[in-house]
Amino acid sequence: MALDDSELIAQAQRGDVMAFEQLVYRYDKRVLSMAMAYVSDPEDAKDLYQEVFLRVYRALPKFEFRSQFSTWLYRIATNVCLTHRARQKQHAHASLDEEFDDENTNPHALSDVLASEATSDEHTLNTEIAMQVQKALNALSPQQRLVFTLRHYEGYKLKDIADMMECAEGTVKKYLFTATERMRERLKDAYQ
Amino acid sequence: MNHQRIREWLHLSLSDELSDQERHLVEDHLTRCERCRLELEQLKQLYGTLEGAGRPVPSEQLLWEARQGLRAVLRMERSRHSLWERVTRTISAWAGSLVSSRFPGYAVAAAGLALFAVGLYAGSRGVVPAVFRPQMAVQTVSDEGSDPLAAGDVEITNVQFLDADAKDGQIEFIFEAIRPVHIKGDINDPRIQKVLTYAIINEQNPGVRLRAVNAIKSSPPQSSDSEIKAALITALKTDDNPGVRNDAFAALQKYPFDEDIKNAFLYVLTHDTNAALRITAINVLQTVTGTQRRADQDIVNVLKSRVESDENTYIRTRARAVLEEIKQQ
Repeated sequence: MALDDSELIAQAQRGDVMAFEQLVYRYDKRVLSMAMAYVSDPEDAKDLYQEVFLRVYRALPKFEFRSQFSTWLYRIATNVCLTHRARQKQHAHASLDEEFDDENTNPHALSDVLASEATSDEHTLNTEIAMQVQKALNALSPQQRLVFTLRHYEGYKLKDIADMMECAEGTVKKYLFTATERMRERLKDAYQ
Repeated sequence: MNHQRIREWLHLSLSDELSDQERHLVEDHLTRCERCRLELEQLKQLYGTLEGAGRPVPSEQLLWEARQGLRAVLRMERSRHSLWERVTRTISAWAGSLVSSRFPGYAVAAAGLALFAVGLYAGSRGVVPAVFRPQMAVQTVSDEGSDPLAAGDVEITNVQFLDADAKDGQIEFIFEAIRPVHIKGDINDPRIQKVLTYAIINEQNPGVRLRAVNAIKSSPPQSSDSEIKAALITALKTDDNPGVRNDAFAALQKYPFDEDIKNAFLYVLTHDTNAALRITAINVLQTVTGTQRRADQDIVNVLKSRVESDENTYIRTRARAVLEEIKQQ
């Protein structure tokens, strides 16, 4: 029978590496998916993924079960995403709220990573829409993109997102509102 | 109630994030405001489009690459921890011996200063040792038969004071006692297997991982060694060295064919970048299907996908041939 998270965490805290791996494999697809939505480039997404789980590995011995493991993990993932973007921005000498040029995004990246489950026609259409959505996402600020990703793709409540991002719920609402408005503007051709 | 506020609430209503009172206010407003009703319809269309596009799902290949990368990073992290311990021990010993020869009274302080300097340097470079540490029972030096320092070759490291105040004559601390262990024994001994499992998953050096896998491969599997089997499956799926993956595959063939092993072999056939391993997987699965009365649908599906999309012509041909064999059974 599969062990629950608490048992795996306890074993990992005692130094059981396989327990840690099992714990990672339980959540890593969602973390990678979140990273993909956030950075779109597969290589960047892998970097984020590794950074998240390396931080989890280092911090797990201090995990005291005060929150759900998944919430704690996403808090780390959130921090890694925001720090990653901040680092990139430092290199680019640009402001956080600047719109990204569509040409800076990688239009092939999404098709490289989307799992193919639909028929070829549906797949082409879905991929096309997905690419437009990804471009619209890339045009958001890091905070807006993160809130949008966590709400729409991961299904977290705004209260939990505020907890992960360590900011007020009102701020998260504002990010979500602005993000959705900007997505709406960019995607109006796709849905109208 | 202004439109801007209502517009914000319309977004939140679609995310089910409004309180009852807010929802009633929105519903009430919508009965009277054509503009906001239109706004809500447009938002619903947007949400429909987003749902249709789906969330970005990473491909299995990308996930596999990410996991391989993570394993390499974690192995490095663990070995850095060991390196950290070696460095602190060496510097501590060096500083202590250097000063004690001339100024015995300053030996401890010098060692401490040296360690402090290393700590500062490591901190500035982000070199922080991994902190997985077994939980320990408290021992007192008077405990009979439990003296962790009884063996002469023990190295003491990572001393952390819990109570350094000796006013009451007692102090308390944690340290790690490292002692080299030389073991010779039956490969089916659980203690031996524990070390082998650790080596397969954690050793930085692929040669050591390979030798650990080979040691297991050369012995008949026991029903009780599920941890070894899990370690072999992990190595087969994620080790970045094809030689280790190849030998893990061979070792797993000695186990009774079950769902875990089937899924691991299908994973190799679908995702492994090494064509020789994918061919081995087809050959093994062909043997297995030859003994089955009814075709295994998982195997059939993966073979079909290989016929359609494997980049290697030989694998596409072999997969088609095995599918034909299955049909004729």
